[in-house]
Amino acid sequence: MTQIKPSFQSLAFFLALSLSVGAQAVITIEVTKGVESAIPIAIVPFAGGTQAAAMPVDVAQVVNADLAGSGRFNTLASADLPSQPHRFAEIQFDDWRRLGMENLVIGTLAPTASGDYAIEFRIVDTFRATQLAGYQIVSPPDDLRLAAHRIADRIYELLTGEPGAFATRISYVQVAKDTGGRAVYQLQLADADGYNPKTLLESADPILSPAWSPDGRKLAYVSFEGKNLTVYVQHIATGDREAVAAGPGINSAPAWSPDGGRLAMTLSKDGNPEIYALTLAGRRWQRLTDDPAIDTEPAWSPDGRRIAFTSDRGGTPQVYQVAANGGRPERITLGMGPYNARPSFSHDGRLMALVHAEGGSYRIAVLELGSRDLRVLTDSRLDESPSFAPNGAMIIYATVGARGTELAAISVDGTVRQRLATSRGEVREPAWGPLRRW
Amino acid sequence: MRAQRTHYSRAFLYAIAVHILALVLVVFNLPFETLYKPPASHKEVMQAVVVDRSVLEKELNRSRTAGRREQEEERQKKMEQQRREAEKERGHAVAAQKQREEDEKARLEKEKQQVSALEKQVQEEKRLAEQKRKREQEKKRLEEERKRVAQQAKQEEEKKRQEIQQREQEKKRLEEKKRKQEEQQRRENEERKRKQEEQKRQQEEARKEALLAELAAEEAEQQQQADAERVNDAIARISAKLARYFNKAGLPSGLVCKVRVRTVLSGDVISAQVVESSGNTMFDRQCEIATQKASPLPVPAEQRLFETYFREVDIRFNPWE
Repeated sequence: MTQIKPSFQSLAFFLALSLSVGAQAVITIEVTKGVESAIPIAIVPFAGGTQAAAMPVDVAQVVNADLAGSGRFNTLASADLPSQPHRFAEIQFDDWRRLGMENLVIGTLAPTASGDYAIEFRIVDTFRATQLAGYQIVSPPDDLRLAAHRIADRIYELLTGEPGAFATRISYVQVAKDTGGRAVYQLQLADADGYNPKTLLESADPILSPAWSPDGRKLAYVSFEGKNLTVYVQHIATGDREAVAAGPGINSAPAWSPDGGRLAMTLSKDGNPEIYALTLAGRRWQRLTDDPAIDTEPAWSPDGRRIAFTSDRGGTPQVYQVAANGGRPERITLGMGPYNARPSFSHDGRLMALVHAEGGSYRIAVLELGSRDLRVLTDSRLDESPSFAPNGAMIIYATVGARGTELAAISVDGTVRQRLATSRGEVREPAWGPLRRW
Repeated sequence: MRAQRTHYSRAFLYAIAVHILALVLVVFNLPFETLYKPPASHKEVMQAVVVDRSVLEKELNRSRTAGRREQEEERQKKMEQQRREAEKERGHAVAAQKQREEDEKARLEKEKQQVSALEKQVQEEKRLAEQKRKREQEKKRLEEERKRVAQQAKQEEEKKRQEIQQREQEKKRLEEKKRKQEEQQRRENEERKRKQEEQKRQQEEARKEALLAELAAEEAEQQQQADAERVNDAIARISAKLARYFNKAGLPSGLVCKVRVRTVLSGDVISAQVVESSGNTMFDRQCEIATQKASPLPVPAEQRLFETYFREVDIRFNPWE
């Protein structure tokens, strides 16, 4: 992605302001509060982008959906756009100001001689009539959605100061039926919005708990192949895999250390599910918990020093944490209801997503670790497997909707929830992959 | 003097009378004796006779004037001649004359007696005349005295009158002076009074003004207080409105930025310009945007307050309370 130098500077409207500074004492009004509301942005369909025959993807529409789905943006439906400018000079700033749309995205999309597409887009400040940023991306036709996600990431980062996580991938397990009516388990890889799913592994036996390596190249998962729970690590690109834990009993719930050198998981090789850490290089095991109750679902903290897990040692499932090198676990979810499980750290370690059950409903909640403030985000009944987006802005999870199980993403403030586009069938255990390096 | 003249003229008259008598005697040749029959009252004649001849002569001589004197003399000569002729004739009858002289003698004696009596009488007359003269003199003196006195009185009166006049004039002058003084005084009084009144009026005015000023000050203070309240109220409302439009989403915390805002009376923001940057472009930008979006700002509706305080304001965004 190459940056376009702003070709339009401040217009007369704002230049005139410099003359207004008076000599006399001016009272100062203090504004000590503000609001945290969605950032207004209008994304105008790119020139050439709406010609469906020529363009397989409506790039602007993808960007719009990404930004809107994040909960951080207040977008404008294309029907509500006052006009559809494609170049800076065509912008009627007052129209956008009236709508309170301080941010406007315009762009063009044109095929290149090599058969790719050249996408140019600008982010414009309508109140100051200036260009905030402008970029050009060249994308093969097949990757236009990805290009759109990358555009959304740019916009997101520019306006929120945080990296976007739209051009990332998710992995999940889909349960389909074969022609004979038997269940077929598929390990799926898809764009973060659920598009472009690819099957990495298909099995007649259940597949569970996919987990992304921090570099995004490998997936660890559990397979019940051979009627034995086995933890595999599979290279995404090549499909090569190896079993890393295949002992007797339970081998499940793998979780990568942030440096990618270790895997935490649940093993019952010693008679009772406990948390172990496997150092991949050299295959050394370390037992981290020792309790007659069930300890499972480990999650590594972003700093790599702690491992959170679910345990019912207190009578009901609650979240505990233990030092990455073992020690005395401490309970995290104290006084937060009878059921808190399946912890997942945000990228900054500030938040923890978990499944919170109360009155028979299992819902996704976010615990702010510093303040111990637990916020329930969803209001459905059977939510499971929350996984933070790598920028901490959203949480993907599985839920039961009107058409069966499905994947959903919710903004971390709970304001925006979107259902991911997945094919029909049962979907489980989504895992949000890391940011990609481009 | 006049008495003297009277005296002379009377003597003159006597002389004339004698002459006329003589003339008559001559002309008509009447016997003197017959002629001399003093009437019942011939006092005057006697008087005329008594008048001394010298005086008469003198008078006669004196009366002979110029041509007439010679004529008279002539005539008298003639008369003398005639008389002497007549006497000559009479000598014829001296015998008779003797008798008559006897008679005449007796008569002369008688006449002498008479003359003596007359002289006495004349003396008496003289005395009386002297007395009278003296009386006259006295009278005259008295008269003169009287006149003098009168004159004096008159003079005195005149003097007095003059004095009176002077006094009156003086009085008048004094009165005039007094009047003038009074007038002056009056004018001065009036002037003073006027000045006093003016002063009083000015004082009153000043007092009123002071009072008004005090009232105005009080009013101004109240106004100021009211203004302050309204200004503060407007500031609070503007701050609150800006806070509603300031979107912190996506902005790093802890930043502060000052924006200078120009508005019009409607509160509409004409311009918003960062005067103190936070150092973060996106934060500065949001400050400007919030200001524009919050337009119109709830500035006071009163133009005076607006002009004084709100046409241009600085807004300090520090939304991290």
